[in-house]
Amino acid sequence: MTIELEIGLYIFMLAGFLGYHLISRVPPLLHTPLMSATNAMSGISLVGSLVVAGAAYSPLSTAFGFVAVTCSTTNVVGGFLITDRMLRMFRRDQDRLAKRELGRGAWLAAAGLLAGVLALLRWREELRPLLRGADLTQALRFSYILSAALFILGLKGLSSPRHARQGMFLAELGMAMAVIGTLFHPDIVAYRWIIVGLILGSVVGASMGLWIPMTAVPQRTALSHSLGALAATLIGISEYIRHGDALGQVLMTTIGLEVVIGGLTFTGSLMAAAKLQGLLPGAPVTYPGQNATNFALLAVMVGSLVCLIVTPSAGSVFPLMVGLALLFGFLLVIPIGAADMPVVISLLNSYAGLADAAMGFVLMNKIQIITGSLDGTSGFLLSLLMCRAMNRSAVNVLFGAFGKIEKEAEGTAAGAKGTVRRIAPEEMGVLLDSVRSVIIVPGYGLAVAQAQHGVAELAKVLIKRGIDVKYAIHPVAGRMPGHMNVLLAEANVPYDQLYQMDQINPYFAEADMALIVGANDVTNPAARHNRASPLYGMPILEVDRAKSVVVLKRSLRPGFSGVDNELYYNPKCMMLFGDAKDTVNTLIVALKS
Amino acid sequence: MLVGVPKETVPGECRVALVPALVPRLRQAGLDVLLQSGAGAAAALPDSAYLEKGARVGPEVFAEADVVLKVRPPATDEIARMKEGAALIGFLQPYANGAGIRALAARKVTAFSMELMPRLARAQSMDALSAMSTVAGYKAVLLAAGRVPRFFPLLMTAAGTMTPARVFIVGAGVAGLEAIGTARRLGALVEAYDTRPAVKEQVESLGARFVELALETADAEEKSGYAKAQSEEFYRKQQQMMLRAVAAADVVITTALIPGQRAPLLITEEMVRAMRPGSVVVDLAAEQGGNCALTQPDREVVSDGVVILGPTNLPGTMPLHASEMYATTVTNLLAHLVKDGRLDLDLSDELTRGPLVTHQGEIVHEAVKATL
Repeated sequence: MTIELEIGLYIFMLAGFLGYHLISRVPPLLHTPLMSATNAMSGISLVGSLVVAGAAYSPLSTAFGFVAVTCSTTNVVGGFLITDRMLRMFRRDQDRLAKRELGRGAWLAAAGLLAGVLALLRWREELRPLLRGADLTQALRFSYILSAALFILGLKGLSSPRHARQGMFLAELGMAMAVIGTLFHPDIVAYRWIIVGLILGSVVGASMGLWIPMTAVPQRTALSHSLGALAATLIGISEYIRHGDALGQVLMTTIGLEVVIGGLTFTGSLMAAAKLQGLLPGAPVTYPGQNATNFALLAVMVGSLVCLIVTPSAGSVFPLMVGLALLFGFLLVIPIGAADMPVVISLLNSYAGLADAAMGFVLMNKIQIITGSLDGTSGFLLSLLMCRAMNRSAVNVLFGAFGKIEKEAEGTAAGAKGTVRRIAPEEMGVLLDSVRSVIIVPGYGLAVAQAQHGVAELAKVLIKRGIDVKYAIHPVAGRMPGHMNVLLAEANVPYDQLYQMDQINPYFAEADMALIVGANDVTNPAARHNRASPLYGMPILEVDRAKSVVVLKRSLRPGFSGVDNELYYNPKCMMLFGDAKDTVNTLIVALKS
Repeated sequence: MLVGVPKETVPGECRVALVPALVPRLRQAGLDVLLQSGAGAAAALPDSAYLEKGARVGPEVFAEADVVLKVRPPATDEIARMKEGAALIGFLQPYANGAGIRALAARKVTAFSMELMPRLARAQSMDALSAMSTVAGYKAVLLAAGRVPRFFPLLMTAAGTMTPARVFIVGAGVAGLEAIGTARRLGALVEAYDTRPAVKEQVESLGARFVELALETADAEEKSGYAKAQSEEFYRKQQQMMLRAVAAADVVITTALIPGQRAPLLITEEMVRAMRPGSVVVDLAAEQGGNCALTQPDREVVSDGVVILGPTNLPGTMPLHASEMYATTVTNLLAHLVKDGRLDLDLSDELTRGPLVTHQGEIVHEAVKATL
């Protein structure tokens, strides 16, 4: 083992542990921005791709390099833009005004920087004699170290909505530094394809990041993973061809891992994106002997990798291995249902990270090893957390479609289960900071927990902050007519804050938040369209029209009707599990502090 | 199509089947409204209020109306005056009023009984029984509070501390829960008992104490949500426990009913003797035989200083809101049955078929037909 490799392995391991600890501090609220942020950071493969695209090793290398540059740039630009879009939701009013000025300044600075860089490149040859004294490679290496630190700070920022945007800015700065620095890499001789790739990637990435609707974020993330994996695979193939006979066993191992993981992630992520977008059937596609076939395929793939490592010159095995990897990715994802896709995407994120780390080993680029490892652990950890939130084991999610094909009865209220998004009471404080109107929906759960006093107190705190508070009382909320009235009267909630269903329903669309305290069936959208549901035809409170929905509930157990509530799988709905009284008291404390 | 609302003729019935606020809704559905003069007077709803909303007022309703809305079952002479093939919506007492049902069938009336509304989620807006039970539960507490010679809430004053009334409510259905809520609003200490253990959480959700009688009542709840009839042995054990709870109470309100049967006897004479003088028992099951042995329907019985009240028509004593709630349920049903200003009956719809008792000369409701 060379010293380089040894150091690389240490870095990989340390980054992995660091990643685990950083990610476990990210609240569930920020899991989606976390995925797109790590996805953007995985675009650091741009650094390696730039060299391959510009070093003119061979026409094939340059072509692959160009594709890799485009893919990585798409990831960087799109990923950071979409993360920023999501994080903007957590902005407080007071910050909104300040940031507007900052935003304009930032655009100007970016434009100026771009102009400066382009100028430097244009006159690089003229400048070279002037810079002869300066050792650019050393400067580049220092800038990489700084970039790595900025990335880690960026991830750390995601541990709280308050610092998230600042953290991301640091990460973006780190990325910019690393990329710009790499442009001056001594191996790069031609800039044509680099520039085209950068521009093309930016355009595609920007349009994805700015115009994609929030509901399509999972598909975009999956697509980015596939692009990132494609970049890694192409670079791996290009390096394999470049080194040819001079391929040592160590290098072969790293290249082999890079193309295998990259290849299966590429096709797997494409499948995932297609399923989510509805281009492929969302239902799991299974066939008898699927398990066995997949394992066999895996065995052959590993076998060919081992074979290549032992005899790096076995030329024909390489394309076979790559082809198998592509096929494997496809087969791995098709048996998983669309509802479980978020877990798979997170897992593929992790694989893409591992492929990037492998690329880092291949190109001996430490910063890629670090980000690859961070990406790998974050994806893996997120998948586990998501499985736990769905109350299913990871094995069940990935391999559960095998063995028995569960046919859900037509129109069962269970419908398309998915993941519920959880939120902790402490995080609610931040959310409530940024709302201007709240509609409280009390239900039987409030009565059982005797939380009426807590809720009234919470409402008073919100009103004092200038937030408009209304109560929406469904005609059959609770277990008796006027159940809510008795309790709210006891808590001295003034009559004029109470609205009946027909009065309040039109207001939900303008409300920033619908806060559901122990109500279930009266908020279930299945009553609108699901003829098989026992609730069908019952008029409901249109809470799903609010900008966000927070549900205070003891557990995911169904209510009086015994059916699951579709509302909980709506992306804008967040669950706050616990006893209503305890939760409300924690909220009051969080707000007052 | 003409909707007719007659004056109720049963003595003491002050409710009316339609309130002025709902007249515009019927007119929007393409229906005309004819009110019998003075029908709403006892509910503080003068004819002028109806006229203002676009209804007509006349001396006779049955002969002209295509749909009759009523609170109580129509008398035989009223049925005779009805148009053949007309519709009727109201409380028809289908299991006790055989003669009336047969007369309606003979007159080819399409009759809907509000007591037979199916308990579906989308039928909740047509649930007249729950609405009336709500009124009864509330009024029962007011009745008791007016009759009991003490404060309901706790008062600590210079003239001494007045201890709160102890209210024991038997049966935690709609009426019972409403009574619990009302008694709590007045500040009393409330305990409640029901044979269905599932109800414990509901009672506690109103801030009352659930009296555990430490008895296994497996299968105590019918599918419809009503309590099931229990065995003799069970009742005996129950009575032992009840003795203690009743003796300690200042006010006992009983709401226990079993559909189609005599109400269960829960308060024996022995228990009444154990109560302190000045206590009050309000028996909401008086019309079905009463939960208390000493109950006499619509009469005040005093036994050793304990007052036993058996009001049979509590909703009638709060006629304005009771009429409003009842009229809302009836109007919701009528709106469901009407299309383009005419009756459009979809007999495959459970909501239409459920309450339908007679149609085109036949008794079409299976359960009703079986008992007659």
